[in-house]
Amino acid sequence: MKGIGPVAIALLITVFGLSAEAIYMNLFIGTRVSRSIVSQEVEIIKAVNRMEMVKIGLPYALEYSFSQAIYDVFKNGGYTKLPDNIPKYNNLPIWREYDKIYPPNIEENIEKLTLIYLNQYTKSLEFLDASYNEVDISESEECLNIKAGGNQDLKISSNFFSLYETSNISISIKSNFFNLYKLAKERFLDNDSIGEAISRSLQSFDCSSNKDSIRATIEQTIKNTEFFDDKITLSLNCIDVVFKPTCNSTVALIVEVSIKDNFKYIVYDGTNDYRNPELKFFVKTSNDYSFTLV
Amino acid sequence: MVWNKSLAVLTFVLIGLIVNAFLILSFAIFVFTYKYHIYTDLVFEYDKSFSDLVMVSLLRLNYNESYSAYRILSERNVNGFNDEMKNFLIEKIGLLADTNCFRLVNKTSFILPPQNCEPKEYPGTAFIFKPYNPNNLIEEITLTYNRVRR
Repeated sequence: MKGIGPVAIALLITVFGLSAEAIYMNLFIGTRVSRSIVSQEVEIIKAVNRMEMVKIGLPYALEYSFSQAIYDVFKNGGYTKLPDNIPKYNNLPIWREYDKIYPPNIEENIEKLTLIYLNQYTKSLEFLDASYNEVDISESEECLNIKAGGNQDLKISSNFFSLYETSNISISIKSNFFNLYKLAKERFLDNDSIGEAISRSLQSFDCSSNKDSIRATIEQTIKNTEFFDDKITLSLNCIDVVFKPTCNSTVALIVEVSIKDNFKYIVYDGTNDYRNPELKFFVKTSNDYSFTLV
Repeated sequence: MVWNKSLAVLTFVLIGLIVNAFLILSFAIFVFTYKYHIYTDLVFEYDKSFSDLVMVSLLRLNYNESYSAYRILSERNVNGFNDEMKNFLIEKIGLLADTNCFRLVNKTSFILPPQNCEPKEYPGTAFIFKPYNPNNLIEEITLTYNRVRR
């Protein structure tokens, strides 16, 4: 009996120890392992759902970026930022100074600004790793095709997985951009429509003609050069007319050109609202290019 | 001596039985508790991912030929958010989430408030792109709902 006692006690302690270990493993280690595995699964599924949300939203982000870009570029006379090496008037560019033209690359500027805004959208999602480096705008019947692409795929990652998805976006939206740009280019860059119209209308005047009647004719001519249809509205505002001191029928003038896209976009300008993009710039012209405004 | 020997055998058998019983019991408790944790975690995982999926499905829906549920939500501050649009979302959320008690909120206000109930069970979150505003490009929308008990 004496020999069995310690053995029994030792066995009971062993059994107690094993039970305690089992309970500990059961409550803590097992839970931790299962929670860790499940939380990893949750993370992956969450990432897949987030990627789906991003994919649904990116075409909208591209559309909003383009709308804002076309509005801002138009408002700035066709530029994202006015360059130093072009003539300006009232903080807007002069596209034509008599026979010299200063054409902005509007399409490229809109693409550049759309790209900047699109990257602002993607960067505001902390969980998303995405960077676009190209936006391409092309014409398609009455629509505008806009494509955006990046060197790298969209990526959502954590320390144990990475989820990739192609970053290419392509949308087609209603816009009069190309019609508007063609009109602006044809009338004020390829041709000096105002200068030509003034020359024609002042043919019946001579150097001694009355200044007031010449001025009235110029204003009427400019009004006749305006244009509108259901897509575009071209307005002209004669800012200043200067008569040649030795000849009243030779004039130089500066005209504010405003070409409005009649299609409205949701844009930000202090508040978010539907607004018409309006391309504004100035033209300096004359019916005799040797006479210019000082 | 004979008595002592048989007592010793009996004691060893008894101890053996106790050891086995403890071991089996411990193992059983371990397995059942482990199973319970896996079950509860899987239910949590399923509910959470399902709620997010409800939001994804909702954003994919078309309101009409040219207007989507996404646009209703993202452009509601500009285009308005009329009763027809609200009813469309209420109906679709009810169908997708199998619920008649839910709320749709952003970080500051109700988009669709709950109707005489307290939704609290399944939160699903979506991030939507808003019309360009340098101060507010993204909106986080959370759908919380209680599923219909059947």
